[in-house]
Amino acid sequence: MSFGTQKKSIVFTIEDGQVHVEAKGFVGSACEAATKEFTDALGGTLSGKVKKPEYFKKAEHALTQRA
Amino acid sequence: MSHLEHSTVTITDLKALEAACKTLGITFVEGKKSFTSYGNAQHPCNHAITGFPGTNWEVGLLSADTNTNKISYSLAYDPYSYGTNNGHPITTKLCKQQADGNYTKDGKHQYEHLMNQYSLEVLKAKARLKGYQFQTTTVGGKLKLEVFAK
Repeated sequence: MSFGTQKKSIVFTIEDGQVHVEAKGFVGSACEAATKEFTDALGGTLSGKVKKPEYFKKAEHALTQRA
Repeated sequence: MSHLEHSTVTITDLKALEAACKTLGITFVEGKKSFTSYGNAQHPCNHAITGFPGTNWEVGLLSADTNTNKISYSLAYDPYSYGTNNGHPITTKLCKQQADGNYTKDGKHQYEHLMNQYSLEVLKAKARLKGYQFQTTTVGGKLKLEVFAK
């Protein structure tokens, strides 16, 4: 997995035995690949996922190209 | 022995658990095949933790069934304190919330402290393995880890 040339990071906030994950600076589904290897290592259950606007940027671009 | 309680967490990385215990000042005893409860009763386990705050006894790690290739563990312990024998209320539990829904007064959050530290150690180990830089901070009681690109 590569973070690419943009400044990208994953922020883990740990509280009450739970880990909250936030991917910063990613576009599209790359954030999921980046975070998965970490969340897999935790061995727990992922309780929920909220996609930020950046996630949809690539998809919107693809749709524009097809139009 | 009164009774034992089992947590439902998933611990798979014993090295990370050992590091977490060291940070918290408690001792992970790899390969300890029994843990002690009330009356010095011994119970079978795969590994144990000694000196855990909030309990007078040891905590046992029991291997759990899993669908993955990794072995996972649950924690087992005797929640009763010495005072139980004299009719004192039970106040020492490892979990934040007791079975009756009330929060503990003594030993509170100890279980979460361990799991927080364990999670941090797992994530740091993964970052090291991948060669990523990272930064750890504590903000308002929360542990924060930011992982950066190389």
